[in-house]
Amino acid sequence: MMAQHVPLLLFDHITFGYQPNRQAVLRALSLEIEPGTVTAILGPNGAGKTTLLHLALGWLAPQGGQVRLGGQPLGHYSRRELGQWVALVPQSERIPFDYSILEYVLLGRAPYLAPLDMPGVEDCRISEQVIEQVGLGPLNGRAVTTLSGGERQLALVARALAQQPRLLLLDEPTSHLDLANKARLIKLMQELATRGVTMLLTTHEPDVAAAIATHLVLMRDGQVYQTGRLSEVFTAEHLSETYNVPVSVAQVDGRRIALWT
Amino acid sequence: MRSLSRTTWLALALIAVFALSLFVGRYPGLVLLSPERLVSDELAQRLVLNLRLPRLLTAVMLGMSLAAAGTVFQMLFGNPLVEPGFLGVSQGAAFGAALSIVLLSNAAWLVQGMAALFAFLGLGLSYLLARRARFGGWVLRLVLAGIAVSALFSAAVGVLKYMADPLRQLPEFTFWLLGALSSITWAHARSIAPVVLIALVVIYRMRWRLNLLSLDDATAFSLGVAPGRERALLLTAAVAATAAVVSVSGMVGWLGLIVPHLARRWFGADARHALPSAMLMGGLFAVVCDDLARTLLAGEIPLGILTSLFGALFFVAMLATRNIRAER
Repeated sequence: MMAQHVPLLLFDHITFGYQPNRQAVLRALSLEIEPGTVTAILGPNGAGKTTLLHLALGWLAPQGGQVRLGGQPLGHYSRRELGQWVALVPQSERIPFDYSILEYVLLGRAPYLAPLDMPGVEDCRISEQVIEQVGLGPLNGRAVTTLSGGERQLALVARALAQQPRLLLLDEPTSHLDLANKARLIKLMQELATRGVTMLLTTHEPDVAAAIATHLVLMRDGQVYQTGRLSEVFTAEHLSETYNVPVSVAQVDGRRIALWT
Repeated sequence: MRSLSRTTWLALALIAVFALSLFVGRYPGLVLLSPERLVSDELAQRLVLNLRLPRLLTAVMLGMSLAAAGTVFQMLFGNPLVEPGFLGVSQGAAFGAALSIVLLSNAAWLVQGMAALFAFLGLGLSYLLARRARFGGWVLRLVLAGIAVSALFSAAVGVLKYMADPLRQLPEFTFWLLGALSSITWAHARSIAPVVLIALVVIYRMRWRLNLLSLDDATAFSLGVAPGRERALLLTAAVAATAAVVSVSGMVGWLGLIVPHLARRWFGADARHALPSAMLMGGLFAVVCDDLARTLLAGEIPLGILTSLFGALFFVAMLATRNIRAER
């Protein structure tokens, strides 16, 4: 018999709705995320993409089905353990006070600290390292609130990386960025992928998915419509069905792009 | 480490001003009491030990508590414009204490208990009202709800004032509402010290968590924080400390808003530095204001009038120089 196969993250027949008497956002959804992959969840607005990420965090609990992390249900882990396994880069974040970049990234060390602990030398070292890694080194010392939109997104990624997670969730990481910053962030994510960081991201831009993902999940009406390797799923037919508009797929410099016609 | 040493300087300044303030007042002559006189004059000794010392200790507790509570409120609600007075906590405490004085008894434990009870009630009401309001962002709703609840309690305090015995209760009551430390004795200082100390230690030890709790709930959760539980604990500590000091000092406004703000500007936003500096600055500010309150005029100036005057002036200056920033 073969060794038992354990995905890093498993959504097992998940049903979830925000209000009990309204239609469920996710209906009996199943999905597996393998370690070392970059999976993009693609779908129209309101398809339940962010909800899926919040379920993976444990922030939301499904009404039916089970989320399993490393083969165990989420309830098996303590809150701090969950923070060591999974990190989130939110779509946008309100930062109410003028934390310096280092102070802000240090917050990512919280899962490794007890409630009365303060971050120590090792936490500072790790934080400074990830700040360099995302390319914010030259700006260190600046307040996060004074950064441009693109730099701020990099600071969010750095904070999530300071958690040293096994799974990095990114919610619409490029949605507020201009072309240059989008390219910068995608390049960073490609570097992380080559280092073996497992990523699960949502996006409503097919081209972003095509640029970084190894696997693609197409969502429609709270269910997985198609899933598989990018090359198999990123087709005109599937995309047209997902978005309900005619889409054609072209190949430019070895990369696929989606065009609506 | 720069801000650490600056915090140390601040602590030394507080100790120095505290020691100096023991000699400041209107006995025997204006302003300074000479050390020789203290050695020879028995009345001066009793004055310093039985009146000025408990009064100054209470001023330090008052300033530290309001500044710490202000920092906690601002960080938990992610809004630099809130303080206990804005969310119905101070007004609630004042109403509770006044209710006890006018209708029940002015026993210290009862006044404090009622102050604490109504302080929590004030916060709870503001929170529920903000949850129910149907317009504006969360912060705007919270501030508006706080104003409404504070106004309600102020009106209720007005009713009590009307009911108070004009000869026996009213003068003392009015003075207390304006905020004053003139009648503080060791009994007052001793009765609030345990609550204040425990609450301040809790807040101080959890100060780095304040940074985490200033973020969105989902983000804080993803960092391994229990946002609901930790917020509740810190709010309880902040409200308990505020209610305790308000029950003996009356309404001392603005300190809890301005001091945390200045501390953040001078020592950085990270609560690891901002909170201890705010507490020290709050203590310093309260002691200096109280020194002025008992020396400027022959009669006592209520402390609350001075803190409100300085606080509001600071606030105007900050608004005018656009140093206040609030997203959402």
